[in-house]
Amino acid sequence: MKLMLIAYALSLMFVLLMVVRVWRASVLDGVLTLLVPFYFIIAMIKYWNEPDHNIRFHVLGLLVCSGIAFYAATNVARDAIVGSPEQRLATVKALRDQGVAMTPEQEKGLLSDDPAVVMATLQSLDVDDADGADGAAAPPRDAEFENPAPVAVQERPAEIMSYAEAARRATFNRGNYTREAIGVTIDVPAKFRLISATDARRLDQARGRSDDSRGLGWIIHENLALTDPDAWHVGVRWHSDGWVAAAALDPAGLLDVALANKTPTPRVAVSHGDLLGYAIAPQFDGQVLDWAEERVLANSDEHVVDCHAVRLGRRGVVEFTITGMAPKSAALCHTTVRLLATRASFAPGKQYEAAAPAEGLRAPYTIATLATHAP
Amino acid sequence: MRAVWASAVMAVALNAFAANPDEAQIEQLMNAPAKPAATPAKPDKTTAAKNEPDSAASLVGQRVAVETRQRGFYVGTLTAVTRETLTLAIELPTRSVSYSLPRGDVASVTAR
Repeated sequence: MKLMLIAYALSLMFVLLMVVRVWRASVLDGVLTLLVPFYFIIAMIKYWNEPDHNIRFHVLGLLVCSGIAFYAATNVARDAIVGSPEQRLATVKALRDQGVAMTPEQEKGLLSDDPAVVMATLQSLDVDDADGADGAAAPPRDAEFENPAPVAVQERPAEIMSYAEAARRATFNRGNYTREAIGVTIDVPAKFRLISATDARRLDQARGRSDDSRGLGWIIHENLALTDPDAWHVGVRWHSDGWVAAAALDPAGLLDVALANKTPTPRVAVSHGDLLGYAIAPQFDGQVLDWAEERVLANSDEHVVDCHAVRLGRRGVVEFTITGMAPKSAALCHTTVRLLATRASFAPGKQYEAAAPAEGLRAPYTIATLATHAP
Repeated sequence: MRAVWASAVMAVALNAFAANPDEAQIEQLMNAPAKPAATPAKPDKTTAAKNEPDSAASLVGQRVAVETRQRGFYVGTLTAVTRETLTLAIELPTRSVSYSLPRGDVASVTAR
């Protein structure tokens, strides 16, 4: 970059000196040399043999400096394309996430310090991509639909503050709440209010809870005060794991599986404790899976109910969960999450279908494993 | 004055009519006093007779699935049967829990 600027500065200096010399011989030629491209060639020939006005060496200097500037500019452009090692690492990760097939050599080439190698590898990847577009075994490239990595909710970072302050700052949304990237719209019922993922994250942080990258927001009933840390709310989460297969839901069978599993891996948000039984057994109506779990909290004899309703979509599921409700409020808890799940809808083309889509990501679990927390 | 009252009543009625049944139920549950859940029900001779305690008593010691009237499901070893409660021993990953269900809430008990 520095070399390019110096070369350009020297070129400018040569041009000005050249114009001054020609101007002294003829004002018209000076003006034309300054304004008309390549007129300096005519001036050079015209004053070739005049010791006071010839510009041979100026033209030579101009050409040399222009050449150096061009070379430096090419390198700057190449450096900009190749980027820093961190940028190249991010590029490799992004290509992997997009499903671009890369050999270990190509990955090594992309991470190389030699810009020429990086450029050559990038070009070879382009060639592979073009070839693959015609082939039947081409990897899925639609990042919107086929990206296997969970789509993290990109929100501005939340600052840490007291719970009361976080609750005071929260904005309550009513009506339809749409997430364009996911293609989901939640028609928030009249008596409920939705707060965004950013506000929800602030509230979670204020309570010392870990960040939930799947969080889309909270929904709270209008009669409950958000400033009350014990007030219940519905957590809304997005799982971009792909199409989820339906499965038979025999409650006793599901419970047997769930209780036999000594290392449960819940995908939905749950209270910290052991599953005791289903306060309300899982049921699936073709679009919404809902159930309520009774749990015994860890290191305690306290029983709580966690209610879940999951709205299925073509490339993932939207989860509505209330955790830690008193068992006596199971009906309220379950009715609420089910109502919200039925009020969620996916945009055309992103809706759930019973048959597995021909293309696209498929979740490594079924609706049954969501309810049993099996791996 | 009557017209005003009639309009107000009509507005309330229309609002209630337009509300989703689930929303209405949520309102009802939010405003209703909390219902005691797992506390044993008062002894009721007719209920106890309907629940046929003998059939459940024959399953004591066996692994059973208990279905409740609210679509609840619990699986465990039936350890005790009384007129008021069924008691299950449920094995959790970290401990064993004794869990009592009011007989009035039990819809069915089946051996596993």
